[in-house]
Amino acid sequence: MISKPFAAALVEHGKKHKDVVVITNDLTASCEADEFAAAFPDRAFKGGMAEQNLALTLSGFAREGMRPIYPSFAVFTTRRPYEQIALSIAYPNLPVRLVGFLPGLTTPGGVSHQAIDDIGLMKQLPNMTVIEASDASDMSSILEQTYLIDGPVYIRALRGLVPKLHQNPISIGQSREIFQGGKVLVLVSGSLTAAAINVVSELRKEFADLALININTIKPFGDPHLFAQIKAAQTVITYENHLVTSGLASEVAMHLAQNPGPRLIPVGINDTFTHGGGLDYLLNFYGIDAEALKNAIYVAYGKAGTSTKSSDHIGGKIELNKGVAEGL
Amino acid sequence: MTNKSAAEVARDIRVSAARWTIRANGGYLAQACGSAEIFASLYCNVLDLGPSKGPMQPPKFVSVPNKSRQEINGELWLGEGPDLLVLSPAHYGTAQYCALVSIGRLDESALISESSDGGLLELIAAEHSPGVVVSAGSLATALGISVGRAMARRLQKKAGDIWVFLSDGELQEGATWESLQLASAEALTNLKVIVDINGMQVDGPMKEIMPIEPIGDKFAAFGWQVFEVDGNDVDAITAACKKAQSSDKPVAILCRTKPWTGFTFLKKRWDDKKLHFIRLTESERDDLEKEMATK
Repeated sequence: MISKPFAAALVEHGKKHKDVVVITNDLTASCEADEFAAAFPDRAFKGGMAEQNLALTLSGFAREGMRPIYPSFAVFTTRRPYEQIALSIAYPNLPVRLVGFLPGLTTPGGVSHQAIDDIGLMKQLPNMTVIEASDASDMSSILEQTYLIDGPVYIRALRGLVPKLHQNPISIGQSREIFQGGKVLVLVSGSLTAAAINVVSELRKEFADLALININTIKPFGDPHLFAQIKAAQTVITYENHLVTSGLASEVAMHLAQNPGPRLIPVGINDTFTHGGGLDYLLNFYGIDAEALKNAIYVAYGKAGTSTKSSDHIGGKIELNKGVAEGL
Repeated sequence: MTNKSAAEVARDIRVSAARWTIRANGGYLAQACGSAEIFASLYCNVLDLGPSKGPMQPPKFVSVPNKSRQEINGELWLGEGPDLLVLSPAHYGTAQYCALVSIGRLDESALISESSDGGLLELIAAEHSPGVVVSAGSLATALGISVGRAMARRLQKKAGDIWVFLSDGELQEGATWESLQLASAEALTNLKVIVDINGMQVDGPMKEIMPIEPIGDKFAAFGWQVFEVDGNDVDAITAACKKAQSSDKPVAILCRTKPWTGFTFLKKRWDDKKLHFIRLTESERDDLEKEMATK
């Protein structure tokens, strides 16, 4: 585990690029921008809890040739100021960096704080690049690696204590092959990557040709190696902490519609709003825990899964990520 | 409704919210401590809610609202009127649940049994949470909905007032001012807003992060009648609310509160600018438990 990889990366990014400014709503420490604000007080701004106006401010900075970054909780990064992002940032193709923390069900905060649709909202905007971080290496390198993209970028981000799963920095547009195989291919993005690595490494004892690829670039989607692996598989399983209707599964479905081949088993949040609770409880309740992935793999290999009932964990305690500043 | 005095209810809210924070190792305690007299005054001296229609022990969470089933609605616990209280900042959910316990609309045990996984008493309240009308954890949405409801109620010739509990932080959101503008244009006399002005936001004191004063002048400029009171003084709040009930304009009661009221360690947190979400340190927990023993 690495503590606050984004905080340190943001400071380094600021040192290297004098055109980078950071604007926050009311979640400066909560979204790990406080160290940047301390290091570069003249390039850190507070826009207040006024996200629609804040998005317009980002547009203004970018139109003056600067590279504004807006870190917030993903719901406040994407959903609340949506029209302003669409028409004032995405349409003019401005180099704004929108950073959304608390992806999917990683917050106990309930429907208002759980970003289950942020990838969908952002990826359907023309000009927008959409990246999802899966570990501390990604969070440490994502700002540098996206710096040269001459248009808006949405980064789905992880905060606090973040697992380190990969050795190399993120490479935009390049998926990471974690386990090679053939017949069944698991594609995972974001915060569920660690769980997918555990599940797949365990089940490879039973299914030697079970493969796992980590996707970090949701849009533009895919690279030649990934497409070759998809083509070679009989079944592709997508595994994401997001609505299946508009996230990773939908990108893969669009690809498969144009390149018919394997069948798709999407594991993700299935067309429902969600409610608050502890992480383990929520992942189980909404069918995206490790057991759900195992079941999908068993189904892919034609074996009966070991289904788990969805409310077994009721009564558990809400655990908070101890690595984060105050504020859900 | 309740035989307790507003002072007793305010005390109950603080004690229950502190117990919640100790048990859950985290909570929105300062919000509850600052606003305890507001909730207490409204419930004991102002609102005519009618009996609760919600069970003392809430059922378990089943689902969010969907096509096949309407999830239980938090409004049940507020009765059928004629008045209605709409909580806007969902981070005050704990304060609201604790108030409902104090006035006998919710069983005390629910604060424990229903505030963890699968329970309706969510940390950031949603509209299935007891006493909560709108899922307003994304701020500055409940007022606009309440304006719509007040317009509809006027059209339907329904008696009673809609009271909206707002936080000062929400005044930073542009949507708040759009809602105030419409209420004023419609001259809604059945809509009352009560604002907890505790002067804090997540990043620190509002005057340092995003100043919003002069709040009273701004409301007045938007066509609202304004009363400004000490928000930890039950008599002052009650008197302003009574005056508001006979106003011919939409009315805002601005309550200046001290969010550290009740527990010593909260004042230090205010000074340290870390009061939004309380995750107790060990020494804070010890101090709080000692102080609780005297309450």
